[in-house]
Amino acid sequence: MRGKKDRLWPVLGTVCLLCTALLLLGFGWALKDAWAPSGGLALPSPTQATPQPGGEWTSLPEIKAIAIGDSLTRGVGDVAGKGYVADSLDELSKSMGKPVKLSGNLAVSGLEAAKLNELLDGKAMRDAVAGANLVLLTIGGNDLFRSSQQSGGSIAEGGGIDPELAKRLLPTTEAHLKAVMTKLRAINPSAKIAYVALYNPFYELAQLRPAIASILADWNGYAVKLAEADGNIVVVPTADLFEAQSARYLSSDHFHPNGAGYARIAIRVAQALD
Amino acid sequence: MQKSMTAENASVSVSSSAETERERESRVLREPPVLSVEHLSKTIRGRKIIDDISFDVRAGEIYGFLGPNGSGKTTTIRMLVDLIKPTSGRVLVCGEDVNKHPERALRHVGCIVENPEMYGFMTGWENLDLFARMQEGIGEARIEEVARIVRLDSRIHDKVKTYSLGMRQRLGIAQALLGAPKLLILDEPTNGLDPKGIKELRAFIAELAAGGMSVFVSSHLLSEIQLLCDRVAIIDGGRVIAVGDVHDMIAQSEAHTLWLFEDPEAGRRLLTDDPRVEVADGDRALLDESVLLALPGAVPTLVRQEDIPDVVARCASAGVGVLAVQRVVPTLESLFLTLTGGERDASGS
Amino acid sequence: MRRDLELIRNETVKVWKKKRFAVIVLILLALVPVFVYAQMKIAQSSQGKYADWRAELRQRIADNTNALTSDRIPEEWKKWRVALVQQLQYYLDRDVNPNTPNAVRFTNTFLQNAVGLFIPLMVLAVASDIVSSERSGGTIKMLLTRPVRRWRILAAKLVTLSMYVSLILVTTAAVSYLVSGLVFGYGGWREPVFVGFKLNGSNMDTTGVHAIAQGVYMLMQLGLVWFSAMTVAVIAFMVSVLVRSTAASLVTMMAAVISGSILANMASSWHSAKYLFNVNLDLSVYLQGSPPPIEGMTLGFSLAVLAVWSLAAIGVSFAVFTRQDILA
Repeated sequence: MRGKKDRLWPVLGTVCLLCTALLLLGFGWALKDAWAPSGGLALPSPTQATPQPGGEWTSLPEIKAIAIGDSLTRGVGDVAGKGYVADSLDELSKSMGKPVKLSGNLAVSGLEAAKLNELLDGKAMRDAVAGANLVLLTIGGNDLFRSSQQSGGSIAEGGGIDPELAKRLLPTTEAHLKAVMTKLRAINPSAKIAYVALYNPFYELAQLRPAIASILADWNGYAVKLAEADGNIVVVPTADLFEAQSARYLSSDHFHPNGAGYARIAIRVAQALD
Repeated sequence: MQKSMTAENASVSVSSSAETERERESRVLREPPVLSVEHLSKTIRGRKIIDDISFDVRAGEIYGFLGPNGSGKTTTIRMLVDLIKPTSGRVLVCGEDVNKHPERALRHVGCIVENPEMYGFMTGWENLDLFARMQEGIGEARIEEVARIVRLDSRIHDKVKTYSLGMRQRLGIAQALLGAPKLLILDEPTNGLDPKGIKELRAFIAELAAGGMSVFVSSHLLSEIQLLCDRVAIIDGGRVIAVGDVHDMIAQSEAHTLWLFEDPEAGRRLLTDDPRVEVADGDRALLDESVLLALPGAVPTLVRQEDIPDVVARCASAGVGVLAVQRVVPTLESLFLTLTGGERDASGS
Repeated sequence: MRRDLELIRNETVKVWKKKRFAVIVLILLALVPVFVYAQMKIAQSSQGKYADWRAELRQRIADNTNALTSDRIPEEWKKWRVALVQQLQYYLDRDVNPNTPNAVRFTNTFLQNAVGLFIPLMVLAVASDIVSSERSGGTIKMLLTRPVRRWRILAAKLVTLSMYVSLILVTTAAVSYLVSGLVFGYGGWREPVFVGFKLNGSNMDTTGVHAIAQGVYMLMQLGLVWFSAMTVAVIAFMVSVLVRSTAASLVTMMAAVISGSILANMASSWHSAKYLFNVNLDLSVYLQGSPPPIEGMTLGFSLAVLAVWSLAAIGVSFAVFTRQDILA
């Protein structure tokens, strides 16, 4: 009994002392690392993701899809937060009879074409695109409609939207779109790209209709031209979906589609791809 | 049990066996006091708790510190052992100032202040070992020795929380004895002990003193001090109102006499009519309640001892049967009355 | 010196015998498996969703970037997310997985989350009663009537407290490592972690970033946690000297620690709050490179604030303890 107790102090004391020494060492190391850092570990250089084997989808066991772009791809406006991406891939999977897997929805709401172009230089985007058989893309809406919004007007009422300014922004935005497409193709030569074209969110405002219609015609026409040049890009038209009864398919912000609106886009996308 | 205590104590009492009582007394008087309290005062939040207390305790004497609850006994004792810093004055133990050099002065002191609180989650041995390590030169042998002296050796390896109050008291004393102190300070040591325990403690303290140790005992019971101490300091309201020999003081004070009659009414009338007898009823009955309970219906009086036979004879001739006549020890209250000349309000303690 | 060692021995044995440390180990053994299980569930749920960790990381970056575009989230959260996004991006760009499941990673994450509340609370279990229990138990009368100067007794208690703080921290890390290893595997010591991120406004400065082994990261983190735990311990020690009841001193300190973590989360525009010790406890933010609770706080600043508080607490403890009257 006594022998056991006599051991308590030497053991406990030594252990405590060792713990303290260890922690002091850690503390000193942390200070040194923060204020006088040394080189650090050498890391192997990052590997590049190899592009997915191209060729016909029919020969692939499953299709890998990636979604990039702006708020439309993100699904903003859909209270369920789904958007069109998941539905269209489900639809596609059904009609093709093989799994279609989404390896990521990297869309960022508010993204403009120029910024997307920039992001495509980053390793994250490059790897994601390189590893996909299918790229779902929406872009341009923010460039044309949000940038041309005058201060003070709410976008929901179309107030402050200046069709003239939008028209003037067309050439540069189209150049960005082309750069995006070229870059996507450079990263992944074989993937199919589905570009969801723009629609007129201000269709209800009759006085703006002609001006916006001409902008959309120009923009979407340009997209089709790019698609034709590439051969493996499909442009999915959506403008007609939001003309009649646009209120039923637009969300409360009068700009993004709502759940039903996205569902209609999804069907279009699936049809265009099959 | 009494015997074993005495036997063990032989090792403590080294010097006493050889010298006679008289030799010892004269030696003690020549030596400097073990404890010397000089003009000690303490003010807490503007209130003077202790007011200019002075007394000395000599080697080998049992010194009583008597006062009612709240008189400043505990505060004084705490100042003796450096738990409270005096506002002015000083305490010397073997010539060392307790407040200035506690590490030197307290080497000679063992004490229990109020209750003997020890660490309940450890065994008695571990507690003693703990306190032994705080002082130079106390080895395992000494721990074993003090455990034997207080007769805790059979339970010393049990957890203190399983001890009875008496055992805790003994463990506290063992702790106080560890450093072989010259001065043992015990604060109300009989509190909570049963009569047998009290008796043992008394004998034990006497043994320690016989061995040359000075013992300083505080109490609020005069009988306690009377049985135990050689000299006493009486404290009240933060001031020492008397210092001296216990037995002298008691002899000076009025003693009560209790009368128990066959017919209490008649007896009381008789005593009231007698000029030599003063009936001390109600507030004037400064008696321990336990004494009154032992003789229910007794009439407390103040009467000189030499007058008692005559009063008893008068009662007998008047046909009032006397069942008992009992002298009782004066209480602290009556001692106070004597010492302060009756100025003190009897109910004011 | 020898006497002082004996005093430290006494105090250490007392705390041990009081089973304070045993209770802490029991709490760890009960709680760590719960956290491990939760972490395992998270890992399992994300496992099926993504092709590999890169895809998962990409998605995390995208999700956090999206959260940034919302106008409703507070500015401080935005800053935190910007830092996170840029860090994750840095990992992705260098092809380093910041979330490999292993025991070392789990332990690091656990320590990071525990530094604000959990570890202080365990430290308080010892610190809050190391002096006050002597007073409430009455044993202080025995302790202070021995021929030892009061400051020596208090110093022995302080040394004992530091030793137990060290023991508690190492035990916490060890329990966390051993328990999580059962699920995530015991590897991961040599995996790289990036440190040295600096936030400049809303931009991450990565010039000083370098990789260190995860094991080293754990050691560094433990060192920083030790410093903040010591501050809590020393302040609790002071409160324990000032307040007689253990419960009161525990409650006081818990209130201080908890209000600190609330204040830190409020990331207040109240700038002078950064001089409070309790918002400076989470030193691991500097190691991680996430934004500090209040602008202008740096590692040096936080260490200085904690050190000043600690020294003041020690000063007050000794000044009071050596002078105070033990009245009851």
